[in-house]
Amino acid sequence: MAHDDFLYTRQENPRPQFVYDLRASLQEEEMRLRRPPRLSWRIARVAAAFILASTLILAVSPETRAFVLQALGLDQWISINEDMAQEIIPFAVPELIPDGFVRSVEWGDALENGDMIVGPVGERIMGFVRWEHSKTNCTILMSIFEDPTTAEVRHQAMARNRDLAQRYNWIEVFTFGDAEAVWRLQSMPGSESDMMVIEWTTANQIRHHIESSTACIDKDTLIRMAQSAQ
Amino acid sequence: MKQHEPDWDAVFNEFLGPVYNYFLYRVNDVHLAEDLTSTTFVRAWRSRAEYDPGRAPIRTWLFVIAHHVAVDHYRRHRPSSISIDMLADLPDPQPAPESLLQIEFDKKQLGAAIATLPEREQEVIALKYGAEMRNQDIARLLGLSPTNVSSILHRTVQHLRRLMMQRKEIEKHGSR
Repeated sequence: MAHDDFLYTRQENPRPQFVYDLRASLQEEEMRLRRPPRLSWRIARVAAAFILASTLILAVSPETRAFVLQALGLDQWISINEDMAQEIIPFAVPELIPDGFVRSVEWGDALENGDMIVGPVGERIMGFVRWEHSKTNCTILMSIFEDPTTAEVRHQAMARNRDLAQRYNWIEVFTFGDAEAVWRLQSMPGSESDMMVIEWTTANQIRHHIESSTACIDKDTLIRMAQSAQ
Repeated sequence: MKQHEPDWDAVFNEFLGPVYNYFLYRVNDVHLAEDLTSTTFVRAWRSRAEYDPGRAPIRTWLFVIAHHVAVDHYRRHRPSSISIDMLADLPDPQPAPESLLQIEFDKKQLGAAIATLPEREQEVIALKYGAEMRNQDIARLLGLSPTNVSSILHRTVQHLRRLMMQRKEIEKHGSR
């Protein structure tokens, strides 16, 4: 027995509850640090729009758009409540929201007096619903817009997406029901998390688009969320 | 994940115990040791992008953070400490050599004895016997020479043995 062995006897194993709690708090820290930057989201959104560009045609005639904008004063982004937004763009809202996410309105200069944002994008009127996770700062964004494309055109776009998925590893495609989805769209080369998108068009020709990060929710959760709106 | 980036899950599993025991030896209080351990790992996790494996092993990097956490703690809660030379003036009972191998020291008494040490000696004992660091790593961490660390350890261990023997003698005589 060495002369200093007695000095090791003060050692103890950390309490299991302490170890569990510390590990959990570090995992929360991990989620916070892995939040995808907004810039990569914009880049991915542009890429997603490019992929699905063949399905998007200008929604309304310039005359109709001008009438709507003038009647509603919708020539800029505004924050309005969901009921009012439904008068402009009748859309379906997911009923199943992943745990921890709550509605949030955060949009530049838009007046914050509602729970979603509506405004003009080119010749189209679009609405945005946003959910934010208070602990992880993750975001789920749903955008909705008029989509007059025919089922045939959308089918052709889906075929193109599948072709891209077979040839490139930065995109994966899947279907659920009648909807198509881009599962993983690489945000930026070397990014630790990717963007995922799910889209469908309702019978009244309103296109629904939900996007988030693979670091924030998984594929099954995204599907369940989308299915709860159908 | 960056090239050569540590497996942070493995880092947590491997070093939680040593970091915790380092603080346990330093502060002799379970809950405070847990708080300081948590602070260390949270700081480490937030700054792990800055870790460069080419500059120092992960153990050294982590214990630099732990050392700073301890320094910050004692800056706010400065304990009273006395010179080890004053402690050396206490009477030495000089027990028989063979009994030193047989005596079991009470963990709490040992913690209380360590708590009486001056801050530098506490730090060296905590790193050596709590975190089980090598003398050369302790020297690098504290900016001392390895010889200096060995000397501090030798004197401090001898003092703690005397202190623990005294307490055992007091208990033995007190129980009669």
